[in-house]
Amino acid sequence: MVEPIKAIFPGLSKSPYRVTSPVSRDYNCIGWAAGDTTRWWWPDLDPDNDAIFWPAGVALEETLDAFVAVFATLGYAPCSGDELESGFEKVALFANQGLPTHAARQLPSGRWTSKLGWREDIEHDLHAVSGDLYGTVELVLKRPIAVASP
Amino acid sequence: MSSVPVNAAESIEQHVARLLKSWREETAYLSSSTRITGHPAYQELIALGPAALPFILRDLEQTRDGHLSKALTAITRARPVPTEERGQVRKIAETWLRWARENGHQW
Repeated sequence: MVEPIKAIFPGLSKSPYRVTSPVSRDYNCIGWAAGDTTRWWWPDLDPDNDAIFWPAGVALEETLDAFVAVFATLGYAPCSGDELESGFEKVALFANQGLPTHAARQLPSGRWTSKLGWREDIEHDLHAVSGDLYGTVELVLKRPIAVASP
Repeated sequence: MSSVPVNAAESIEQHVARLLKSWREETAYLSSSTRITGHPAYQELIALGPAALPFILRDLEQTRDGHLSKALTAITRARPVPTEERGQVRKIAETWLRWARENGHQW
């Protein structure tokens, strides 16, 4: 049996969250943060893995730099904080021991939305999904809201 | 992630089912394809080789889980997924099922 969400993310026991989608293997957190619910985004060095998408021209490596470069292709640039900023949308990148693990996207309300692996999307407080699995927020990126999604 | 216990009495079909269950449960909250396909159960599926193929294809038909693509390529050495479908998990599953039918595989 798949572990319940709160067992994996204890922070969700201490702050409100809600499930906002059914389970889906069609996309992951990076696709969701990028506005793409049709593909599983990840930089896999193995050329035999066709189940992943990574934009052409971005380094195929599991580094924060590579993830920043991916979101740069969508108009995002690093910024200083995770607070709601008028005229901008934000994406937070999580890493555990230096390895990227997860991305969350800020909603107009200031709360955050995450796709949890192949499980559901949830709306949550940003740091409530920090912990043993995803590590912590390492970088926050922002772009003007006028920039169109892919 | 835990290693996958061995049960000598089970059939290949049971073995594949157990590996798939363990793999899905233990990678449920992961996005990293490196960790998903590097999971011990996934690697053990690949190690089972062609004997596992009918049961993997049966699962693929039921789940449309294109994350099995890498295992299918490792077992068959085929690469039927066109570049433009990369990352489209459900479409990849359909492509593999079509390839399997066209190449005489039964499940």
